Amino acid sequence: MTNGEVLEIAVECDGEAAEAVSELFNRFNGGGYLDDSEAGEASGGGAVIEATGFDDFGEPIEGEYRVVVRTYIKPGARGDEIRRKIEDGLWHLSQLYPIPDAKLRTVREEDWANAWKQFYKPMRIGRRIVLKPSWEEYVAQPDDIVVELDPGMAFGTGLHPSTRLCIAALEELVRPGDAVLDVGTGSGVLSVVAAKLGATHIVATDIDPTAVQVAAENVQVNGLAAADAPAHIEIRAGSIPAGTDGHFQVVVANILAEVLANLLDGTYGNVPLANPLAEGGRLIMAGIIEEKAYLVIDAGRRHGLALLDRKQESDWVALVMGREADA
Amino acid sequence: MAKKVKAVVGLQLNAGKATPAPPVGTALGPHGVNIMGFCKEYNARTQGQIGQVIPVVITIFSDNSFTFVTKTPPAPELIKKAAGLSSGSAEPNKEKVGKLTKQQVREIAEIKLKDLTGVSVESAMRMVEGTARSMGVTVVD
Repeated sequence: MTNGEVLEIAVECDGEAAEAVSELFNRFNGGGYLDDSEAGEASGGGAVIEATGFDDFGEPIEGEYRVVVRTYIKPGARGDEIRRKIEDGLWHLSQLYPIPDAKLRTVREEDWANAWKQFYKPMRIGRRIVLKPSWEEYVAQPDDIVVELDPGMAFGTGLHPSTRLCIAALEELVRPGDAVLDVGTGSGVLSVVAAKLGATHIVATDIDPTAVQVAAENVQVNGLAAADAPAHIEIRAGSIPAGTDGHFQVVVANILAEVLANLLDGTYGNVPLANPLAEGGRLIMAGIIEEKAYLVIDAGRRHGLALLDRKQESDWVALVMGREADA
Repeated sequence: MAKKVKAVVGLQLNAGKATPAPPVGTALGPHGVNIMGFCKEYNARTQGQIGQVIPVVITIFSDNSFTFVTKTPPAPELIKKAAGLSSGSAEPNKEKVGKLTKQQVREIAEIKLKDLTGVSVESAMRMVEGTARSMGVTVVD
């Protein structure tokens, strides 16, 4: 093996056997205890347990759910020794548990170091909006609105149907000079899009402190944090801000059906979600699985809202509601 | 926003010192996770625990975004620290390498309780004692 290559040992097993195999990998390959703790530096660093095969609710699907325990060993004399110990150990374990033979393969650095970047390309959403990772070059067309967004933590990489539906709705509804409220901003993508569409005053909130931080970074990357930026995006920790009744032409909340219904009802001491809407304002709600759309529509109707538009992509729905009086 | 879970990956990493090298890169890269982004977040969140192994469980969604939770250090790590050992025994049934007091066992059990829902301190203590025995560490009153 050359530099940058590692040997992968993988064993597919579940339950107690997976525990035993990962303990073995940690023991001999640097998860760090018993007689080989210095291998932590020399080796790939212990066991990796990977589970796949989940349904939409994150529950294992029978027949598809599988658990693979892996470890990575660097080449060299030390690595050979670690590999021998692990192979010995696996043989002993196979006397106790019905575990299949380990699969060995060489993994090259180019296979993983930049592999994840291939999943992210500039992507057109709606008519004019292009989401682009920072490392990709993109030549903008005259009408394009380019939003720079690196994927990572928090929600809103732009790849999820809900995010795309929200962006499409914002493109239709946001007018230059509008005030926009973005509840559950996540990565801040929707606020940045609203700003690029001409909204001048934007309040973005999230109850997750990580999201608040990531959103602030994305606002800055897109040149919207400067004092002379055309729009002002204010990021706040929390839910629906108090004291803003009737203030926003557009309110967008890309969360979850149950949460949206609760927000509309103003449970947990929140300001009801429709309150911040200005006269003629529009409320965009997404993150809704098709069969739960009724929860949100019913809750909206309880608070004097009418359904004005409904967008759908695969199982996901975005709803646009407005006050019945000015629908 | 609920999203389909693509994979759940568990790793043991040194607090504050995750790098994109294996195992992080090899475990997460193929799932499309921004590995630099993960390292940055993990290191930021575990900055106060440097010197300890802090396991992490990463949930990766179908759009390649992810969230993660950190766990308490593995019991053997805590036992080694409390007993002042650099390693456990290769033959735990014959060669005893260290001692823990009941009080130390209780302290370790109380740390581990955070990861164990619905478990009493007493049963957590028995789990810690079992791990200690398997490392050649005896428990004394």
